[in-house]
Amino acid sequence: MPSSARPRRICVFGDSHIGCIKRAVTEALFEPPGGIEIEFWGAEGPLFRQLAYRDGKVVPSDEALPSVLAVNDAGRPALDPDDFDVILFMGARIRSLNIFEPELRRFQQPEAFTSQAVFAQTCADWLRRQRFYGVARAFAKTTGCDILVAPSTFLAEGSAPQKGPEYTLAQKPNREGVDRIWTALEQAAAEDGITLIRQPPETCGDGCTSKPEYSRRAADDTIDPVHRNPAYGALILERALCALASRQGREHVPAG
Amino acid sequence: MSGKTPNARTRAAPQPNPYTDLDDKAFWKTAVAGRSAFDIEGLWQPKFRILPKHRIVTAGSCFAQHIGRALAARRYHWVDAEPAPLALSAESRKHFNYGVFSFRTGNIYTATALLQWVSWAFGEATPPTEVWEKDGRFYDPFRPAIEPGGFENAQELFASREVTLAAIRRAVRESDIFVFTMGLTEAWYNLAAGHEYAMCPGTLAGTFDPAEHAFRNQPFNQIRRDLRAALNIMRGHNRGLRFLLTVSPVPLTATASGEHVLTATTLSKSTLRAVAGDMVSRSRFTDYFPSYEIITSCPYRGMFYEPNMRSVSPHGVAHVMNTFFADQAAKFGAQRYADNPQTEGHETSKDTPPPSVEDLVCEEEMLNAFQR
Repeated sequence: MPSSARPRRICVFGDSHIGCIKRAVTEALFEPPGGIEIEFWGAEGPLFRQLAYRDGKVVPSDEALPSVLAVNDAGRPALDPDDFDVILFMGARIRSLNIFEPELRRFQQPEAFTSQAVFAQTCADWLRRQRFYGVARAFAKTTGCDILVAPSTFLAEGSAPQKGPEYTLAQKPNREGVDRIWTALEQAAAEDGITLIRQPPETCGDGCTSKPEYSRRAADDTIDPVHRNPAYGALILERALCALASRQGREHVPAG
Repeated sequence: MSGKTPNARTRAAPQPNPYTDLDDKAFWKTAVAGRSAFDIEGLWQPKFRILPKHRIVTAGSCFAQHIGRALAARRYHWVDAEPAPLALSAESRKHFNYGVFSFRTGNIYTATALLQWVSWAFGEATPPTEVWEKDGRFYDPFRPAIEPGGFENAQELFASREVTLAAIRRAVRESDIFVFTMGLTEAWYNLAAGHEYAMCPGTLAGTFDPAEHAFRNQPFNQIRRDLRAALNIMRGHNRGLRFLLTVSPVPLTATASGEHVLTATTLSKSTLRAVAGDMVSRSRFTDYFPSYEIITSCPYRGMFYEPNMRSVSPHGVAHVMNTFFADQAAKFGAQRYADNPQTEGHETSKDTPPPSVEDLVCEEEMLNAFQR
């Protein structure tokens, strides 16, 4: 268990979605409160798939190792949960849209109605089938770390519908439906001893979209539909610290 | 007297009679006693061909689920008219009774229960509003095990039932073959309203009240009447629909008839078998597949039952289904199995989507964020 005498060590683990948090820290949009150290560990998408859970740690393939070492300042070749007090899974190939799309579609089809019990189990089954959520579960079960999971965000509002009719449907306003799915995911995670951090509503459009003001912009000022900007990263860190404070029964006072 | 000796009379060719030219299969000695049980053949002379392209619905007693599963495994077009949500795991689908039958009615044990379901589905009757409550959860009296933890409230129960009724309509209208496995003659019903329950009130949920609930062991005439009515409703909505009846070889768990459960089982199954035979003899679009005989008949010596002498072993199910396909092939020629899975309704997993724009831009994102 973490000692109160030393800083709480938070590892932000994930794929390219950890970039927004890294930038939030680098650009001082988020000042970690005293007693908190933040470290990053992960690799970008294609190489992220080459990370594996082995003997209680996450280890990269030889090919992915350079990418991991480029991300992690401490030069850790493996993610050992014993080195940290908190691990925040960010993105990590947990693509929330893949459960929101079909479930929102079902909400709009009376013939596809399910009971709340079936719906909740559907969300739980989806979450538990995500590979790196499985790693989060294993960490939560076998270590003393606090485990938080922030799934990938929705694509940016106005980005080209690339996934067909379901994606188009998911873009339509349905705050109630979106909230219902997040709640089910949070409850499933809580059963696993994990705190799931939903995409903050203020960063979302009416449907399953992200507001452009939280989107990363490319050098030519075009919107990156997938990645969020440092402001979003700062929000997630805020949410994460609030969740941790809540878990530990003490209030977190936001920095700044 | 002709003056012939008795010996000469016995040696003479037999007089022509209806048995003279019959196949070996007509004689116990050649068709059964002289063969290994596994070599008994020709038990079924199917009326119609069943091809992988045919859309097949399965419903009825628990043995029907084996038929659906075996058809799907052989890449026949088994209809799942009420598919589970995309992301529900196989284990959870089973838990919530998805994919067991073609729709989520649970077991339909009797012809009367089948008639109720199709009558409700096609607006011939209004579904009762009775619900069973237990520990703050709500259970559908006509499929009390469908949600193992019950429904949250009556409204959810009715909404879910409507989905099932819509699935029945869809399955009946869009299918080619309706397989119905008859299971029981014993049933419990509501004295005032007349509707039949899936199981006795007070067993899984609900409260048994002798002033409200009554037992009946359905006689031949009632079963035939209700089965014929159910089939007629379905044919009224799909003139091309054909029926394949079977009788479940699974004995009764318990009898409320006052008889010994073994003799009660014999009466029940014999009655159902007789109804099936009668229906088949009167209808060109109704056939009977003898899975019941394959499991229960004496040449098989009970070998297809589990030690409890009730549950049918996987080996028994396999033998039944091998017979099904062999007899189809014997009558119509061998059938090449379809190349692709033909289970309709199952949504395919999208947990691993094809490479997207996300993959294309993430490397750049990472490099920019962590550049040193």
